Amino acid sequence: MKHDILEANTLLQRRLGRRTLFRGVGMAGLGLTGAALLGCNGDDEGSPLEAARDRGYITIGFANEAPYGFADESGNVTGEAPEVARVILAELGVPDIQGVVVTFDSLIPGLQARRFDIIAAGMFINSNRCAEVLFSDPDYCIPQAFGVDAGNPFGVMNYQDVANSDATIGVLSGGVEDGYAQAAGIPDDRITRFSEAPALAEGLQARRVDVIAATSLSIRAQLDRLADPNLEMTAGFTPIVDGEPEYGCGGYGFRRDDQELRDAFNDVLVSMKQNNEIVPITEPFGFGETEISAATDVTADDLCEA
Amino acid sequence: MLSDNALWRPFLDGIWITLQVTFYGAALGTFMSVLSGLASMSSVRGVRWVSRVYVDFFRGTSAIVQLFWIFYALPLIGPSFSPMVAGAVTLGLNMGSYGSEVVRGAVQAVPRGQTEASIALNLSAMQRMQYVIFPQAAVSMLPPYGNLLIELLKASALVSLITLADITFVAQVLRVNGTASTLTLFSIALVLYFVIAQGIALVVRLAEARLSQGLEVGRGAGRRAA
Amino acid sequence: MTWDWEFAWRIMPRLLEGLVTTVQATLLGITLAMVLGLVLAMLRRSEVRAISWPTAWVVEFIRSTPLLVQLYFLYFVGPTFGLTMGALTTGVLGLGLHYATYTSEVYRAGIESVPRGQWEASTALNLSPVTTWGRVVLPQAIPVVIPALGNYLIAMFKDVPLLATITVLDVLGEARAVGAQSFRYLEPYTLAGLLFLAVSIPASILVRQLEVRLARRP
Repeated sequence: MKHDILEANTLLQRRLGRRTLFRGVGMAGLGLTGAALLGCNGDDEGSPLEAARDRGYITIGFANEAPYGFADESGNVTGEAPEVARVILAELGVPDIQGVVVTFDSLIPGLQARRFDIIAAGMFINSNRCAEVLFSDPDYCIPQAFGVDAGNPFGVMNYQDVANSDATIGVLSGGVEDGYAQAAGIPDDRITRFSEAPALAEGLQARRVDVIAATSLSIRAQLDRLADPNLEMTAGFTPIVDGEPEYGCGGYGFRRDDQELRDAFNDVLVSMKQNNEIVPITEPFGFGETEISAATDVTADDLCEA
Repeated sequence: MLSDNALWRPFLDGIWITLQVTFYGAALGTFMSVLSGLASMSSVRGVRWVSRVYVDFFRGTSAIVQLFWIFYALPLIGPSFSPMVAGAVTLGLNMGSYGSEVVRGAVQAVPRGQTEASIALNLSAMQRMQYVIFPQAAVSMLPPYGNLLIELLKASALVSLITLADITFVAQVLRVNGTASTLTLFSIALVLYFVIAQGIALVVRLAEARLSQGLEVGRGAGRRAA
Repeated sequence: MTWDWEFAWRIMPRLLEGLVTTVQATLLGITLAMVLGLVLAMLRRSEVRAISWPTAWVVEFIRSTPLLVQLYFLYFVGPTFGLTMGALTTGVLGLGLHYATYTSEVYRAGIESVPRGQWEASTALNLSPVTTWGRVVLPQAIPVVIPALGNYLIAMFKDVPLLATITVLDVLGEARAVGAQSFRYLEPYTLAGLLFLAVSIPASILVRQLEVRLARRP
């Protein structure tokens, strides 16, 4: 800790090679020599893919939501989306990824504000988000589920049931679940929006809310983490919005002017889907054949129009 | 507890980030305090007005709202600052808006006779401030300045909300990972801030003792006798 | 991205709703801080060192650590001991505790400004401690400290947005929610900032006037 500012900056260069989250994230901000106080981020003009190849890494945004994208015990970014992205980017000649962790509702603004180049958080693709972000094709599809007290005292199996009860529901701020809940007619004063998935689950445990909603895998991951016998998850279900089933399929988000990066990324993703290369990468995170193959024939366009 | 490698390593990195944000913020904050404090006493009306607007703006809005605005809204219409720069600039400008009053108050408290004597000695306005007024004012500035530094340290926890891995951020991430109990993690974080704050207070006290040495026979002694 | 007036107009009611929550939290918080601060100030004056000394340290500790971390502490650690409070309650408690350490210093200065003779006279008149504090000391000490308390009221108002991190829908919480649902952040965050100015600038002018008026009193 006795480095002076300039040394800290070279230290930064050296450390960038590592994938440690704490450093990686801190690094995102370390572009600071005395004079740089007034300087800005130095947006790389031209192709972001070229720039990433030169730099040797690309930054991805994730929301610390297991199993999609999260920091492991030693602070490395991992999870379904970062690991698949890692393989795809290596294929594209970018050897490393740097994780930037933000709250879920900051993923899209963070991408737009150039805080990172790719959203790798298993984000669901839907028409609202397509207006803001370019998506790759999805690499998994998954049902929703609720986390509830053991025995499901409110007997809720879908959003309509919650609307008809007087249960309060917790969702992730900025998550699709918020929209599903509102569409089902759950009044705003019964919806609590949490910043992050772990706080959501702890909110259920602390009885701040009666029900929590997320994807089935996310609910399972959180309940496993808490290992609380007083909590359980409901069966998975597909929410109905305006009479239409809303399939939850997640992919990778890019800035709207990064079409080239998105296309290059997507080409590799599509060929990996065809060659069944996704399952082995995502299996450790609880994604099975079911979730991955459900996305085989689905494209981003299908979901954006829905 | 702290011998656990998975625990202290991230916290050490976090301390380093917290210290950096605080340091850069303090550097800018000190500069802005002096600049705006002196500007508020300018004989030019426009200069006083600019200082007033700056102070009122930063004292009137919330630091966290400013930070979110600079981090998420500004890049949509203007430059995109890195988290460290956004954090240090926001905290520094906020500190400056409070420090401005500290500087003004201290300078105005220097007895008029000092100014009159400097004029009689034919010192320029610049020399007067630099050699006579400011050194005396600095002594009485130090205690409130120390408080501002501690407020700055506390406010630095906000940068955890714009992706900087400071002490607070580390505690949050380790909580999510279940590395240790929430009680342990947040207690460690609070104690770390407390220790750093005590360190700052100590440095300020030492500086105060040092600076007031030469002035013992002057104003300081007079006040103590009063 | 350009400024969208129509959108800004449309989200105003939600932000104003948030402002109501912000003001509520501030008023509840300052009430708690004023009561607790007085208690702390009196404990600190205690002649029993076993009371005054720990009080001084608790005040120093709370005062030199970040409110954000204290809020997290209350919000996340409380439930592990079976102590779950609503988000707003947690927030108000956090604000009240934090600012009580500031108000206690203010009261202390106010109490010290009461001349020694007043205490001695109370002792001579054989007044009980309750009467001494309630009828002699505090009525003289409190008017002096009102402007300083006013400044902390404004400072607290600006700290309420921290409660958004524990799900309270204050101005910032609403701005975030609006942003998360509409993907437009420029208008919500800018308006949030302007709403703060709209309240705190008149408030600080009021406090300044109060200062002047109280200073003029003999």
